[in-house]
Amino acid sequence: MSRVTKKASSVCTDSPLSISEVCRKMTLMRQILTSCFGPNGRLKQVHNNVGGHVLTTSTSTSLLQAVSSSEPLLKLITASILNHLSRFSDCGLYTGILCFSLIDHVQKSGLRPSVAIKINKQLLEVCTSFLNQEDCGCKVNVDFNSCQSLVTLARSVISSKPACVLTEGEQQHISTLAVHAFLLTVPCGDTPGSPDRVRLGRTVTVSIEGQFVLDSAVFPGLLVNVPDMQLQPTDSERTRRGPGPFRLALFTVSLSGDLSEFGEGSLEVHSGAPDPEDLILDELLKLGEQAVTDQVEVFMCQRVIHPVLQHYLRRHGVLVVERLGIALIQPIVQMTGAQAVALYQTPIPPEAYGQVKGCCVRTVGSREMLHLLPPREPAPAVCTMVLCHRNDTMLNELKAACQRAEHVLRLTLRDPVALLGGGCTETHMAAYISNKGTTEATEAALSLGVSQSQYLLGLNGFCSSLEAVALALVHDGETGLVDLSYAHHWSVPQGEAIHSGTVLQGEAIHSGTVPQGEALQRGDGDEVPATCGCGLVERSARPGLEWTPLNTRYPSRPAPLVVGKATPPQLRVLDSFTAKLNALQVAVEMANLVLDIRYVIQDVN
Amino acid sequence: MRLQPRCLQLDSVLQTVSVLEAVIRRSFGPDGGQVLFTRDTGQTLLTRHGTRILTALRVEHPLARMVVECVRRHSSVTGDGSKTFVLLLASLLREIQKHTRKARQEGAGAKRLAEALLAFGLDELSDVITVAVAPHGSSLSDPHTPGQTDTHTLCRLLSAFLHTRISPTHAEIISQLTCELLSHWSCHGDFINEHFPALHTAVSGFPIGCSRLLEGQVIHADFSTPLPLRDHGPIRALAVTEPLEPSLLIGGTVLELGGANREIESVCVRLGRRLDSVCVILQHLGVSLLLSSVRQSEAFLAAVGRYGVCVLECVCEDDLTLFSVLKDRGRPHSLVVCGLTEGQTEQSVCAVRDALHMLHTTWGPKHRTRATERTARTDVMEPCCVISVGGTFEFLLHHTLLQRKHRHTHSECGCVTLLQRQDRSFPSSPLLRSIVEKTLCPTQTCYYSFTSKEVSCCVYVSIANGISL
Repeated sequence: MSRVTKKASSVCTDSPLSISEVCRKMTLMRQILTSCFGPNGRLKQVHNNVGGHVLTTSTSTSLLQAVSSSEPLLKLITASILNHLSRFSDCGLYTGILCFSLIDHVQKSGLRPSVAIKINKQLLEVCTSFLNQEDCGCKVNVDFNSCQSLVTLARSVISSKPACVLTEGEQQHISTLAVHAFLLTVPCGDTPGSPDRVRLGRTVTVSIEGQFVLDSAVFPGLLVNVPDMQLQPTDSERTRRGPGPFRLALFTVSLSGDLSEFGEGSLEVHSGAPDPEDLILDELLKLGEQAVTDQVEVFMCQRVIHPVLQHYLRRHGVLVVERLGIALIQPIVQMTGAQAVALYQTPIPPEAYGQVKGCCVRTVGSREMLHLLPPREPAPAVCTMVLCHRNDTMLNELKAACQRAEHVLRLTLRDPVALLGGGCTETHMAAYISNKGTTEATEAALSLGVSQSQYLLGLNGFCSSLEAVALALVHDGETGLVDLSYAHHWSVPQGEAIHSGTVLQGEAIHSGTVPQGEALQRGDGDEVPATCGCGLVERSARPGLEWTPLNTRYPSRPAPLVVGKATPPQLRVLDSFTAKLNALQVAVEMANLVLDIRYVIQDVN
Repeated sequence: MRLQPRCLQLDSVLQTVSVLEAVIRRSFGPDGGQVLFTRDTGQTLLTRHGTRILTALRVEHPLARMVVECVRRHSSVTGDGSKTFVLLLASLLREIQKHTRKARQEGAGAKRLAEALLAFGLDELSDVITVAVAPHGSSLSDPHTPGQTDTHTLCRLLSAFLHTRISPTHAEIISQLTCELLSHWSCHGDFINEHFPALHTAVSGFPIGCSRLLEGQVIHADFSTPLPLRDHGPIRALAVTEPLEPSLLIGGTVLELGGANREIESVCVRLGRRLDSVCVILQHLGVSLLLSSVRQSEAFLAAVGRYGVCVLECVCEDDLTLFSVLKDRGRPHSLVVCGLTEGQTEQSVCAVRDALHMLHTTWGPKHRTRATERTARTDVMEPCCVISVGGTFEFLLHHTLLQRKHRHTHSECGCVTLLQRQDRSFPSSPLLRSIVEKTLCPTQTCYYSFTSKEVSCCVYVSIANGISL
C-alpha cells in the first residue's frame, strides 16, 4: 500500500543575487574555476568527509561533476557548463569564468538586470559577428596540408590540463599521437555509395599504468585484450604465419551452450530423450565445422565459447578469442566489415565474414595483446591509442585530455579555423568591442532603449569580463599585460610590480601619438617576454610596442590592429573556434538568465 | 484530531492573496523575471508560467490552495491569463475591503458587495465587453479571405504571448519558429497541438539561437542497427508494435522435449526458419527501415541487419502515431528547441505548447456566458478576436465603466455604483497604473488573446464571491 505523506511548503527566496550567502558561494565557485584555468592552473583535490576516492584534477568536466552545490543558481550554471562540454569537450572553465565575471560586473555596476541583459545580448551579437568575419584578427585558418596547426591545437588542449603532469617533451609526444590517431580515423577519398557523406573511424584507447609517458603509441587496427591462457602455442604460431588477409567470424550470441536464452518458461525432458545440452553442443560443433570448412582463421565471440568448441577450433588452427565485451564489437565490425552473428542455430551466412590483414601479439606494458591489422589501407579506419602514465590518477586525466583533443580536432573538419590562444583572443576582442561600442554608443543605446551612460557602463563590464578571462591565465603573482597596438595578451613573470595605470614602453623611440593620460607613469618594458600569449606578436619584430596592465580603463582605445599574416611566426597556442564560439554564447546567455531570475522556489520534500 | 473552526476575516483573505500576488507580480509582463524552481529530485527548472509558479510553491493555507486550484482550472481551460487572474483577484479584494471598512458588520457588507459583483459579472460584464472593448480588437481571420488566418496578426499574438512566458531574447526566436511551423502545416493549430510531443525535439548544450525548423519528422530513438550508407531515395518504412521474434518460452509455459520432431534442435531450426521468413517478408515488401515501439531480440536485429534493414527500437508512441497519420499529409516540419540546460529547453517547449493551446481556445467556439445566451444580441463577438497587449483591455473596460457611471448617476442599482467605485480606483493601484502607462507607449503594438481575458474577468468575480462567504 502506498503511503500518502504530507508535502511541505516550498522555500521561496526573493532576488537570490542580493543575498550575501549566494554571492559568497558564487564568488567561491568563480575562484575555484579561475585558479584551475590555463597551463599553470592549480590542481584541486576533491574528496568527501568520510573518505573514499580522492579526485585530483583541474579539468572542468571532472571538477564540476564532482563538486555539487546545494545552491540552485550554481546548479543551473554547472548544468549548463556540463551540457556545453558534452557537445564540444572544450572551454568549460572559460564559460564558467566569463559567466561569473559578467554577473559580478553587472552587480557591481548597479545596472538594472533588464538593461544589462539587453546590452549583454547586443554585445554578444557584435562579438559573434566579429568572430565570424573573414578578416577577424584573432582567427587563423587550419591548414590540413601540414600537421603544424593541428599539433598546436592538440597541444593547447593537453597542456591546459596540468593534472596530466607532463613535461614539455611529453606534451609534444602526446599531441603528436593525438593528431596521428585523428588522421588515421579520417577516411581518405569518397565513401563508396555516397560521396557527400563521410563516416569517421574511431579511436580505441588502451591505458597502461606504470609505464613512461613516452612509451605511449598509436597503432592502426585494434588491440584486443587476451588473457594469457587464451593465447595457446598454436595461436602464436598462427599469428606468425604469413601475411593475410584472414577470414574472421564474429559472434555476439553466447556460444557457451547453456539453455538460458530460451526465455522464462521451463523445459520438460521426457525420459529416454537425449539431453538438450548435448544437442546444443552438437549444434555448436556443427558451427565449428562450418567455420573450419569456410577457412575462418579468427573466431571471436563477445561472450563465452564452450570449451569443447574452443578446443575443436584450436585443433584446426583457428585463433579463438572469447569474452570480447560489447565495447569492442562495433570497432571490430567497422574495421573488418564482418557482421556480428547473433544466432548459432543456422549456418553462418557467407557475407557475415570479415577480414583482417594479419594479427600478431604485442606486449604493451605488462599486458600481452592481440593486434588485429586493418584489412585495407585507406578504408574505414580504426586505430588504437595506447596511453601510458606513471599512476592511475594522471592516467585518467591524460585519457580524458586525449579524448578532448580528438573531439577538438574533429571539430576543425567542419570549421577549419582556430582562434589565437593564450588570452590573446579575449584581449583583442575586448579592445575591438570597446572601440566599436564607444564610437557607436549613441546609436546602440537608442536602439536598445537605454541611456548612453548605461550602455557605456554595460560595455565596460562586458570588456572587463572578457579581459578577466585572459587574466585568469595568470597565476603565481605574474602580471597580465596588454599591448596598445595589437591588443594581445602578455604575461610578465613574478617580480616586477606593475601598478595599474602604468604604460610600459619598448626599446624603440616613443612616437608620442599614443593616448597618454596625466596619471600614467612610464616604465621600462624590459621585463616583458619575447612574444605575446599566442606567439603571433614578437617583441623584437615590432618595435615601439607599449603595454599596460589588463583591466586598466582608458578614456578611449583605438581599434586594435590586425597582425599581418604574410609570414606567420610559429603560433604557440590555438583554441578551437567552434567550441569557443559556443562557450561565449553559452556564458553570456547563462549570465543573462541568472540576472533575470527573481525568485528561487526550492521544493524541500 | 481536533477540528478547530477559525473565523475567516477579509483581512486575512486579502493577506493570503496578496502574498500570491507578490510572487506573481515579479514575473508579470514583458519585463518580468524568471523563477528558478528546484524539484525534490534535484532537477532545476525555469518558469514564468503563473500556474506553475503557484503550484510549485506548495502552499499550505487552505484558502491559498483554493485560489491556486482555481487558477489552475482557469489556465487549463484558456491556456493563458493565470497571472492576470491573481492580480485582478487581489485588486478586487482590496477594493472590497476599502469600501466595507467603514461598515460595522464587515463580513455582511463584503458579502453583499461580492454578490452584487457576481451578478454584474454574470449579467452585464459580457455585454459591456462586447459593446465597448470588442470593436477595438481585430480578428485573427484574414479580412480578405474568410476562414484563413491572418499570419501577421498570428505572429504578433504569438510573440506577445511568448514574451510573457520566456525571456524576451528567446521569445523572438521561438515565436518566429512557431509561426513558421504553423504556416508550414498550413492548417489550424489543432493538428500541431495534438501532435506537439512528437513534433518537437529539445536539445540542451547549445545557445537558443541554434533552434530551428527541420523538414521532416524527428524520431526520438537511436538506431539499433545503423542505416547503411547509400544514395538518397525514398525509403520504405514499417512500424511494428510487438517483437517480431517471439520468445520461445513465455513465462509459465512448458516446452516438452522428446519424441519425433520435438527435439531441441528441431525447435531451434524452426526458430531460425521463422526469423528467416520474417526477413524474406520484409525484403519482399521493400522495407528498409523498421520503427519498433518495443525491444527486438538480438537475433532478430542481426538477421534483419544482414538484409540491409535498419531498426529503431523503443520508438515512443507519439512518434509512431504521428508517423502513421503523416503519410497522407504534405511535407512535415518539426521544431528543434535548443537551450543551455534541460530546464531552459523545457521552459521553451512548455511555452510553445501553451501558446498552441491558447490559439486553440482563441480559434475554438466562443465562451458563452449567461448574458449572451439570454440577450440574443446581433453584434456578438467573433470567435477569433484579439486585442492589443499592454493593458488595452483593462483601459478600455475602465473607460467604459466610467462613462456608464456618468449615465447612471442617480441609479439605484448598487452593483453598478460598486463597480464604478471599484473600477475608478483601478489606476490608483500601482500595477494597473503601470499597465495604463504602458498602453500609452506607442511602441506596444503586440496583440493579446481576447478570449482568455474575458473569461478571467468573469471568473474572478465568482471567486471573490466564494471567498467572502
